Amino acid sequence: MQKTLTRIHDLKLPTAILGACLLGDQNEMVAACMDGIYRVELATKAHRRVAEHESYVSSAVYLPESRVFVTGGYDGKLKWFSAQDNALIREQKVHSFWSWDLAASADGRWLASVTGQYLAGDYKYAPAKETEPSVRILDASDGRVVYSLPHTPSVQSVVFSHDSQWVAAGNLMGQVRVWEVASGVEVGGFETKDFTSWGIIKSHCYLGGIFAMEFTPDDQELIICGMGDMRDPMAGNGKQLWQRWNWKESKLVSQTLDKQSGEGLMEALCMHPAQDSFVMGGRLRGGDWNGALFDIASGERIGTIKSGYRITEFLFNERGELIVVGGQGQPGKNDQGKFSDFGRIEVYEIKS
Amino acid sequence: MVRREDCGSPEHQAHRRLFLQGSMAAGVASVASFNGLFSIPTLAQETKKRGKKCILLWLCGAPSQFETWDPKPGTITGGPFGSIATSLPGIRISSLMPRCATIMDKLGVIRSMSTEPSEHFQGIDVLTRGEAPRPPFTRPILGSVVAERLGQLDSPVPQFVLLDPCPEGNEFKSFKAGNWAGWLGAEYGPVRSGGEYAIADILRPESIDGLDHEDREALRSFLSRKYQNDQRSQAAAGYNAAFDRVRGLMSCAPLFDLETLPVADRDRYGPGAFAQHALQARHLIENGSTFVMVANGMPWDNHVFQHEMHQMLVPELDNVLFQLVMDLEQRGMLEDTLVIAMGEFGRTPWLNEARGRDHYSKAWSMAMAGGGIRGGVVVGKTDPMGFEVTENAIDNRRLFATIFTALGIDAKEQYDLPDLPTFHRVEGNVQPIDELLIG
Amino acid sequence: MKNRDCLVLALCKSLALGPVRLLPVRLLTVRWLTVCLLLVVDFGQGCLDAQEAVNSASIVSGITAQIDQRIALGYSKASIVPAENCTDEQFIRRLYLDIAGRIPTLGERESFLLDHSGSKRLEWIDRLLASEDYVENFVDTFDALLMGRATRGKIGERKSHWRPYLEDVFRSNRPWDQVAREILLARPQSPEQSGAVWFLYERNDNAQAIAEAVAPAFFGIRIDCAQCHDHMIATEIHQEHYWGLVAFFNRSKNTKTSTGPRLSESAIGGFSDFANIYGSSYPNLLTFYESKTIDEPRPEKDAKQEDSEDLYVPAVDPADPRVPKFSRREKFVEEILNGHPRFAKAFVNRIWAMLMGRGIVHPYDQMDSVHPPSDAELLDGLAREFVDSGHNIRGLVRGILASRPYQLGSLRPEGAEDPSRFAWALERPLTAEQLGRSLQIALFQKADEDHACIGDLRDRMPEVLPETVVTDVGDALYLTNNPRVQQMILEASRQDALVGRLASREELRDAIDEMFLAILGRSAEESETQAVLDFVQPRLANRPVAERVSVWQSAVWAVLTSAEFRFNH
Repeated sequence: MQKTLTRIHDLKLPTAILGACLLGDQNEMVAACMDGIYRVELATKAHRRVAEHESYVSSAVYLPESRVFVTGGYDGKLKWFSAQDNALIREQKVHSFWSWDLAASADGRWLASVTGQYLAGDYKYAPAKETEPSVRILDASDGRVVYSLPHTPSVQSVVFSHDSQWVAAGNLMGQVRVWEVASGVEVGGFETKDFTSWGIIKSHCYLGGIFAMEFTPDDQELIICGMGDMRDPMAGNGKQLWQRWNWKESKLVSQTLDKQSGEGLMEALCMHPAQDSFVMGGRLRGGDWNGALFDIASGERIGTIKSGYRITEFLFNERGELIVVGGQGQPGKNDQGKFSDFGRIEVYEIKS
Repeated sequence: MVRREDCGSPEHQAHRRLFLQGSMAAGVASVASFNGLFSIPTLAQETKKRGKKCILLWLCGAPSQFETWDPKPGTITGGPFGSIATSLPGIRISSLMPRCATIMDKLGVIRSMSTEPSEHFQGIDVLTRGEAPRPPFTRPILGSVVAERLGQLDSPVPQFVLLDPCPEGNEFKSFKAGNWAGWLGAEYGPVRSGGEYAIADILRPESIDGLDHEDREALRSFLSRKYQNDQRSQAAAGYNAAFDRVRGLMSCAPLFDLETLPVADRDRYGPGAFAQHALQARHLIENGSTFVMVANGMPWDNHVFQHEMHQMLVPELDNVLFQLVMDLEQRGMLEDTLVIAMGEFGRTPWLNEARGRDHYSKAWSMAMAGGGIRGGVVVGKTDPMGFEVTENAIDNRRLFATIFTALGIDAKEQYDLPDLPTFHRVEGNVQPIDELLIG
Repeated sequence: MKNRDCLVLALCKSLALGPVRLLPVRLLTVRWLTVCLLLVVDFGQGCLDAQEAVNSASIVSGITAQIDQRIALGYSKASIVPAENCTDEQFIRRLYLDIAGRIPTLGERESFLLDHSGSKRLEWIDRLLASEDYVENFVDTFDALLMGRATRGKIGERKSHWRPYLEDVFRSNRPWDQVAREILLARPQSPEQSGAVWFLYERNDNAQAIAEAVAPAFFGIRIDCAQCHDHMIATEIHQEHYWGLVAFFNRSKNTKTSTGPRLSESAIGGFSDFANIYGSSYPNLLTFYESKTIDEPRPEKDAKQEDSEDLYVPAVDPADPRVPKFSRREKFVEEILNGHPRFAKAFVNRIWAMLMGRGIVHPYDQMDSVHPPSDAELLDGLAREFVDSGHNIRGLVRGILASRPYQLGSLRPEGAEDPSRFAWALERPLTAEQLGRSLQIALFQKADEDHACIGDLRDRMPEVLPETVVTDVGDALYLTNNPRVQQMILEASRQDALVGRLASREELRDAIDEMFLAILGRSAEESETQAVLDFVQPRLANRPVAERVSVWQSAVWAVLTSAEFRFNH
């Protein structure tokens, strides 16, 4: 059934939003931005910068039990803050390169952060082997690293299963590995060649891969997103692509239906609380949408957003009638050498 | 300089040849054609053997100055990478360049490049030839000028080599199909090698043994020379002269074979095509080439994924430049070998929404070392956000005047073109950047 | 040719005219003209028709006589003694290369040498001009000259569109002015003309590329330099000529129709100003070099033109694009091309360059004030004869081949320095196709048009009518080490091919002589025989029987790659 997505709030932050989480009351969010961490009140648009990393802040997750939010940054650090007063509780260096992505398990016990610098590994620029473990699993309560797991850099997305039993990480080569959280044992995974990962027009350089993932409601499958193949990676004109894989059997189950995709990199993915649909978004390079709601059972696209800026993050409120969108607009330069605000936050209402 | 271009001959011959190669349809690289410097008439008395040589690390697509020589950490334009201290007190460069940071005292860096064109094709023209085009006159590319002025004509080794394994590269691809040697004539164009561009037919066919291969050439030569003499044939003389060079060229085959380079060296330079061919460039220079240009398509044009690509490209460049400078120094060759690392312009201070930086020619950076360039010098400054040059803006003319002067080539020399506009090696009577020049 | 031969054979057998193998030749000579006129007419299109035969005959005298006279005058003015006439051996190799696009087979060579007719050179000229080899060879050359070499991807398209048209042109000897009209008007009136559109079509709506191709192809001048300013050396070529020529084609657009590719033309648009490097600008009027300016109402600057059906008439074939009432292409063909003073000269000069090694104007496609003709009267005279003959291509070729300068020896006489006097036969490198076919003939006595070596050679040596002969080291490497070349020689080791035959000879000297005959079309001289013996004898003695063939492979390679084989002389 088709849904209409209507924008009800919008506000701007000084710099791009790379990640975000909603806090308990669902009106407050934490935004991970290029220039620091922002607390934002959606209804009133009130926002303030509360802390920072030494580089871009790439993600933010919320642990409701302990009323703590954790951020990851391109400084390789994780930082724990009290949601009450934004006080820094703990900071910990977990990677020597960026934390590309950070996830928290649904039960609030675990954190997973992924890293990896893409470096030339052979004549045609396949990535070199990792120089530090690409995946770290931490105890959310004390920041202790529980497992350090291997992957091929750069590992750009990580997610826990709904039952908190599995953790999956995907990289620029389209390789996904899945581990059992309790044991750190690798239990499955797959490799897809369908996401753009290298181009030969301008260079023999790899990039692209998997930018976001979600487990299906039964945790048996993974939905992943990125951009479909293209000859010229600089053009950014591959298909807006999601794929659904049975990760235990390494089998492709389904993917973006024919004629339901435009062009552009998809880098945000979020499961609806009702577990019957998911939303995917990113950049609009060709076509008429850059965020869309998909029915899980049929894979049909059931609603679209054309935001006018690149979408980097999607969140649903608890009841599932609102979608919060984070993103990055085109920063222009004004005469004084100052930029207009180019971070974007918007809220859309979902209507049948 | 007594080469006359009569708006006809060399230009038209090249045009005709390109036309015949079908470039109208698809763009066949003229640089893949292989005249090399082999058919140069021996004009030994005209040529001064200066012994200077040059390696151009051609960073096509245009690297970001913020992620290399002119970082602005902590600003909104600075990007996610930090800066690090260098061997020059007070000078910091991108944290992606830890190795070059240790040899800043050997490098000459310009942070105040400011040029006109901000599209690739035009930018490549200006930064490889030194001047914007003035049709129908095609100014020779830097490598052609250096090979013509400083080349060793009696060497079997090609004097101007382009190492570029990438068959593609958008605007650079079109540029490669154009006329490189300009009014100097096609024989000053590059020999292209790298990847699938191995020099064709340089190895003896397996089905014939070495002695037969040599002796049948001796027989061929006897018969062919007899014809040449009987007929008083100039065409046959040229034909036989070409065959005379085959043996020497075949002996150069190992120079073009990456596999012959020591494994330890190959590991040191790194596995990527660009790094491997930079090592090969050193090897060619050591063995008699005069100008080697190393490129790998247009990988630096990161309108999308600026930082995701630069996290890989800059460390590779950092290591390659470091290894090259150290190797040349260890071999006592740095003094006579100029190493240049640059692209056709820089990147915007602002990031576009596609995680990229776009073209920016108003304020950008490049680096040189050796061959008459003074190390430990940083020329020019930009403002805190990198929008504008605030001190000592350097355009393409001053850069080329500096390069030519460093190599001992007269930058103000006139090209003698009767009845036509006067061309100089560098136009505009500009001064080289004195602080970058040794003595 | 087969059809015609059959007809001719049948015809002549019935009349019991002389030895059968010479019949087709005799048929075309003046002696038999009357007989043929009476009989050939009934055989229709397949044969040279009567009118053409008459033209042919009369042009030979006119063109050949002019050449012989003017060139001889040139010798005496410059006090040059020209080279001796070439031998029959030299003549037949040269003629086959020029007309059939390959060296003769051993059998063809021998037939010619054994022919004792007093006019056999003329007879063999006609014989070859009537052959399908002539058609292929001229199509190869004109394809390269008019279109540039096709990239590998485009070869197929040209094969299905363009080449059949050119084949028809040369096979049916269409008058050159008609060919030019068909190509530039690009409105085919019959299936045979359909491929004529390809000249414009392949240039893909790029009017500048079209203009830059039209000028050398039909007028023998290069105008590329005049794009930004009046030509700086050839000052008579103006920027307005460049942009004028562009304007004639800038309303044309590639269109796919049910009958094939076509060029539609708009009735409006295509007005602009061109700026020179000094900053002035001028309107792009419909004009061209040494011609007039076509009147055409120009809309006011910025005025918008309305397109409407009234401005067009429907095409004769409803599948074809409609035709504008004011058609720039048509104006060009009718008023600029038609009777243009350069048109016939350009063609005559190009054919001359193809057959004589350089043009009367050299280079052949820069017939401007910087490049004066070596004999203006000769060029004018030949152009006049060519026009009077009805732009008869084959007649022109025949006239030059029959002339004395064409048939001179290739040894430059002492005291003669200036090649533009044509006092000796100038050496010319074989084109890729000539070389590829000749390699095959030498090795296998037959040539396959589609042999992979021809494609390789086209890539390797794309030049046709080069301004100066330069051998690239890459060519030498190719001939020395290329696996395909080596493979061809290996294949020639089978019994019926050259290497195989040589290896089976009892007498080494006989083998060497056969090798020279097959490859160079002449016997080996003693010093050459000795050199080859020095190479083969010790090797044959030292090697097991099975490996002896490799000795001949090397010897054959040495002769095949000698300069003598590489050039037409």
